[in-house]
Amino acid sequence: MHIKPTTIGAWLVLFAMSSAAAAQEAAAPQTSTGDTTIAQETTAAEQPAAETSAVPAESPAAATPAPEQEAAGAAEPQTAPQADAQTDGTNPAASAPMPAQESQPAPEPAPEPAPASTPAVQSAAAETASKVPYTEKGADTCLRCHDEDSEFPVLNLFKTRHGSRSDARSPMAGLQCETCHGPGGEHGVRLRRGQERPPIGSFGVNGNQPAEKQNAVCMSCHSGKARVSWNSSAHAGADVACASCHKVHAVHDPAMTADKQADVCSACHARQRADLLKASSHPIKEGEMACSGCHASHGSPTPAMLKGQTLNNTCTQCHAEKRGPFLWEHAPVAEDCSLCHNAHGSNHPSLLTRRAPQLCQQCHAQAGHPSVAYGAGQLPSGTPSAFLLAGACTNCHNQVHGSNHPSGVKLMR
Amino acid sequence: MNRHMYVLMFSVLLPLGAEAQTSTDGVDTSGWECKYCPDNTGWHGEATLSPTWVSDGDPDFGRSSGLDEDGFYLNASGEVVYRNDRGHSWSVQFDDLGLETRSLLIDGGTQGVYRLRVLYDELQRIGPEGSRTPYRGVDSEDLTLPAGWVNGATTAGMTQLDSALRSVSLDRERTRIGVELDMVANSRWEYGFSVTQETKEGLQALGAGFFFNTAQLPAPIDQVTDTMEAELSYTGERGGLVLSYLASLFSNDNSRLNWENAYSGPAGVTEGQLALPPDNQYHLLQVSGNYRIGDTGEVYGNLGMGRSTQDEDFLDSTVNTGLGASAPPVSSLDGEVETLNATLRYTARPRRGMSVLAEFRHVDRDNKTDSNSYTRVVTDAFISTARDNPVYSFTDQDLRLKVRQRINPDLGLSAGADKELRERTDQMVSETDELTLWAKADYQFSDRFYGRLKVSHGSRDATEANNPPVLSPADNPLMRKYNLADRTREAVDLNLGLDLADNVSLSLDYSGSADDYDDSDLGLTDARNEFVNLGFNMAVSEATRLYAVVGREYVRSIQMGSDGGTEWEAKERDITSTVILGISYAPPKSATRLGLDLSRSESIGQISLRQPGNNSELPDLKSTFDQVRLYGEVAMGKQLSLTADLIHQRLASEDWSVDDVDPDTMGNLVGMGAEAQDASVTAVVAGIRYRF
Repeated sequence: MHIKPTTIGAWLVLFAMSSAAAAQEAAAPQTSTGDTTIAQETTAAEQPAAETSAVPAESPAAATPAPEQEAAGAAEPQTAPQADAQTDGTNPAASAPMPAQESQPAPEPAPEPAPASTPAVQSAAAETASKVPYTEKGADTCLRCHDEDSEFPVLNLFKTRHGSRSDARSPMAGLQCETCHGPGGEHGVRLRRGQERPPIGSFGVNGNQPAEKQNAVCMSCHSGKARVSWNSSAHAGADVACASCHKVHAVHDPAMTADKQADVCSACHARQRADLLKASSHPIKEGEMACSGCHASHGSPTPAMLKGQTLNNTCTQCHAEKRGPFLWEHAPVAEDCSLCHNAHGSNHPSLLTRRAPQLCQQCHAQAGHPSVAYGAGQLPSGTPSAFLLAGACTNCHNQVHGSNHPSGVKLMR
Repeated sequence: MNRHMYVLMFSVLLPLGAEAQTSTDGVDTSGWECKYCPDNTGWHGEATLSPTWVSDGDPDFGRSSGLDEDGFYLNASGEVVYRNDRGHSWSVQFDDLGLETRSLLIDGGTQGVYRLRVLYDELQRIGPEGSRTPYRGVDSEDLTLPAGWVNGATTAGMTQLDSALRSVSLDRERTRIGVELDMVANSRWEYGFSVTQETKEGLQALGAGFFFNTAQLPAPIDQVTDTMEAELSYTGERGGLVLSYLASLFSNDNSRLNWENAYSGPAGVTEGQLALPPDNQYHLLQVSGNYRIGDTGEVYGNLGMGRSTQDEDFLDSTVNTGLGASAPPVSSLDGEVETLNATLRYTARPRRGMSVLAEFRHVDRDNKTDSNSYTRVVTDAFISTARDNPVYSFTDQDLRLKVRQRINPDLGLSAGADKELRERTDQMVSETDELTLWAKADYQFSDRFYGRLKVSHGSRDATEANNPPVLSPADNPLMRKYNLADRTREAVDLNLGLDLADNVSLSLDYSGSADDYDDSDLGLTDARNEFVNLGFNMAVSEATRLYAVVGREYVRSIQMGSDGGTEWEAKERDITSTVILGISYAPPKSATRLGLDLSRSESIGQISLRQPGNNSELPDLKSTFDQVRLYGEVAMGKQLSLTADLIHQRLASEDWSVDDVDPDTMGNLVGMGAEAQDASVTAVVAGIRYRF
């Protein structure tokens, strides 16, 4: 392992600067605390960012930024996902953005969740308990209104793991609904005529807390395992709320259901949705593959939140036959699958970014057949050429991913 | 890992047990009876039986649905769940039981203690229709020509070719079966194991030849990938740690493919042999974790050490023993690649409205495989100069910085820099160094209108290797491979969102980039990439929603070539238009739902060539995907409902590379003759769903 000293130096300098700034800020007098701070931060601009997957792939015809080439922010959503308040587990707007929702209560000073530490749900509850009282009867208070006939039905929660009362880690085993939504002592009271019902913590794009605060509630229990990289992930950096994708009141969370997950992801990732409809694509739109087969939406070491440590590691999870090492390697294959393939979809066979032979000729110009311009004259109507038609270059060079044959240097054996 | 190892691991870890804990931190919950909480213990579930009719066999539709042939099907899907009040639950989910895309998931355990999942899943890929081959012995390692075969100098001389052709299905099927066990030791520690086996069977087309005479062969696929994973995780007050180990073992039942030479030349060459993918292994030991610093800071790190090995016995240099080729210098590659990947991130919100992110990423591929000199037998025809196998290694070091500052409640500004340094061995360019600077502004114009703009500029410099590898034949010295070339990239992203009313929203997304490879005389010189998307949503009523998406993508590239000193230019354009329209009706308090989805994706690919005295344009590559889906479910009481799904789909393609290309169209290629797909299919799925 060889790390350039300059790189390490830059890293250390930045770390020191940022830490110093943090320390300075911490030392500065606080002008607001608690709910006041939340209210000030609860601005429209703090709502989930709609960043665009922008960095094009290396190859010009890579219509969609290939995962590994999606540099900083590339994995961030294009438009803010819409939460579905009707948490029935279905997504009627399959393959399309969810429609606008009914207005939620305006942002209000909301119960402040605990810092993301475990087990902190109870801590969050304790913190807010001093400001807003809890209900007297817990879930029974909530369920008097929020039954199957209400605007926000919640009973399906009890068919999920969150609804279990036997698991001490479950919200319903603790402060029940108020574990996540915060104290409902004011929200759940009987109102006088004309009185507006005080809000309670709500989630999703139209939730009355900023994404960071919403997510802190979820992360108070779900911070471990795959979520250790959440806070530094592109999704978190774009202020995507957990509830923008997940529907915890649904029996089957669409974000965790193979045949519905793509609808959830493509609500923001419009370009990828378009790619999935192209002639060559992984069977994602059909529900046979999920986005999470390749991507770790809660964060990963890679910029594009891939499951593998690199793009190639991710691809060879399923395409292990292309993993090698081979006797005769094809350098770009060993380096980056997306140099030739667009994993989300392509108009060219085998998810290729371009059509052979032009794709190959972007790198190979040796004298002889690699340097010849193949055009209309080589079609069946003219002098048909195996350098252009059928598999083009792969008519002979069949081992483009590498050959283990002693005579396979030209990737023909 | 054998069974004894598992037993040992379980013996060690199980006693850690579940240590449930609960706390309400002083909140008086004595009156919280949860008497209105529904009782979901016992048996529950639903099952759907779906008689289905399909009008035509359609490879594309068949892949997605398992309905790959015309006729009637009987399908079943559903779920059966058992729960008790002690947290035990078991469910069986089954889908497409009557089809080749069937799946089964058994999921159960005691919540908070352990969870066991058993998965079975099938996935198929239907090959193009019309594939034919004269070869016999399909699905084996030895392809032979039928008795009486007449070899020809070209396909025209193969007088038995037409009569020897037989249909062949280039279908593939994946079957995955797996077991996953997750256990909760206590509130801090969890561990999990999984074992998955994926088999892949079928055929694929492989082109293989003798010098410039070639044939498309049906090559067998009979592969198994076994994957084992173990994970131990700790979650603490200020962070977590995950230690995991992964082993992936690939094995191929077919190590070679031999085929008879259909041609009369080269002289004395009657058979060829190629190597099929060798068995290989990949092991990865990984640790990742995060630690919160102060109130807003966090450090995340990941370190992964991987090792890929491959030691399949080599085939002979040629099956043409008459050449007297020497044996390979070693009996197998004993290939080994070590990878070391490290990511370190720091995120913080040092002051209100400000966030920073810094990331350092190190990716190292160290190919430790020996390089030896191998006698090269060109397509089993003649011996050529011996060649040393290249050993490709590379190292990436990336530094990414991002700062975001909220100027006021409506305006946010961000800026960042991405630095990527990649060093390579055994390539013409030893180092590429790229710096990308970007800036972004997001602005809330009003309660109903927001906008976001991001611009970036990237510049990549390439350093040629001091001792570049010697290629044979030598590459044109003016060629610059596009991933190793100097490049500037300008990119713009724009997002606008407008809520026309409480129930109507519009969105507009645009992204565009321009790549210039100014120092590339040959190879890719210029690329443009644009995508625009318009979205519309409307909640017509509480039950009815309308949505529409219209997108268009434009991708263009220009590359230069040189044929004996005569330069040529190829310009390629891919234009894709996408339209999705839909309406759904799902009244609350009811299982009834209706919907109509229309999807269309139309792509055109254009390639034009300019060469002195020889300009030409290839015909447009066209691909149009249309799908109309009308679906519904009508409740017939609490437990029973009727479902219906009417799907009409068409994939129409025009592709000059395969259209009108028969097995004997080219004199030096025995093709398989499948043409671009142009098929439509209608499927009617009627179902009855019962819930209990």
